[in-house]
Amino acid sequence: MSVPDPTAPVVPATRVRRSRGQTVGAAAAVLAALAVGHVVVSAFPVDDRVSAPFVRPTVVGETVELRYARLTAGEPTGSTVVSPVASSLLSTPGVFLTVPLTIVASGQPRLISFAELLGGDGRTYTVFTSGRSSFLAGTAQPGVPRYATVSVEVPPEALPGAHLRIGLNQEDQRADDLADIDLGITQADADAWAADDTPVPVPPRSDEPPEQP
Amino acid sequence: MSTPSVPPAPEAPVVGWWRRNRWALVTLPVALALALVASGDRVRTLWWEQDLRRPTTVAAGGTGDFHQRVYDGLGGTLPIDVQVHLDGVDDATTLPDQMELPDGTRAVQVDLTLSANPDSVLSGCVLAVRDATGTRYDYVSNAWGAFQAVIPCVPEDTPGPRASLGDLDEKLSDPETAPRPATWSVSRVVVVPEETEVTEVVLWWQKPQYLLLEVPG
Repeated sequence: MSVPDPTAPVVPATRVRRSRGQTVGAAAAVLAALAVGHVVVSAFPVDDRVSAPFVRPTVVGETVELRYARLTAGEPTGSTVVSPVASSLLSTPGVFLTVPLTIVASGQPRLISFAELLGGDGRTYTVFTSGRSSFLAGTAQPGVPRYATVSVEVPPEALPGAHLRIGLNQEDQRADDLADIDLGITQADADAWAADDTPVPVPPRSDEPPEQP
Repeated sequence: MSTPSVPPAPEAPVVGWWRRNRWALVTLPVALALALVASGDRVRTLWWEQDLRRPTTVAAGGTGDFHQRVYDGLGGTLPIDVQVHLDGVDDATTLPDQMELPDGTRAVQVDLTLSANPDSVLSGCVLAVRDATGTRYDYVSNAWGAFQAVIPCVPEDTPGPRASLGDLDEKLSDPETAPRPATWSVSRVVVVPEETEVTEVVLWWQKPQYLLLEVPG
């Protein structure tokens, strides 16, 4: 129902006059479109899935291929006392869990710096280097195996069924590969470690394989 | 819209929607382009400048002329103006003092001859080698038991000036240090896996620009 506007005689009929009903109808249509859009966007929770890391599951002793490295976890061990390289012995009312890792970087030198433990109790235990837990693999040259150990302080009940997650970027794991290692820890392991006070060594990162005990 | 309601003049032509909105239609692509540019400002800082993307390729045996303006960290830029010649890439005959190679690796010696104005700042360069698949192996000054030159592209004893640190310059400057020669040679050792065939030597100051020196086949 477009009606030419006679009030602009010099440039004739460039504007259209609309009835009040039309204007209100158009406004309602815009609002409805916005509402429908909001429903569509929020009905499907895709934000988390779009930015989620690509989790690569593996188990102890099995190599997992990541975008930036090949990663193999060794047998986990634990004790109430840990012996880090750079400090004196640390003891805990919980358990210090240590997991030796072998990292073979690919493509370019890689600084693999993210680690966290998903406890069997449903909690996430972060491994931050300024605390008592540690993971310092350093920058690894491609093709040259780097040996580094994760050490994380957890309550014993977090140990059975715990998974270790290793990623490239400590700040941001979105939309990148993330290794998820099932450590295969049983309740018996957890009980034994919680009762043990033999210091567990955390050797420094190295390009030489650690000595076998 | 408070246009007075007047009955339409019968002779007024009916103007189509496309014609009425022609200016809006003309500006629409411009607005879209502007919106993309405005929302894409991080593409440069978070992606383009995060990797080696703009090579200055030097054929085997040639001398590369490399120019770049690099950020000095104080809001300005510094010119990099350097000529680089790759003298050779070979198995290192003598390892740097106390270097112990891990199993399954070998040491590759990269020999370069460079020329630059002795007053120009060349600190902050990174040296690496690449194989045919594009895998990059960096020169590491402090690794495998050895301490090599921190700045791989300048002479260790006459590195030349460093980037300004403001008022600290006077306290830090050492008048005893001889100026950097106009032309000099460096020899650096890079550790690579045993089976690696080095096909390129790369040298850069700030990504994304870099100097790509092809290794004679």
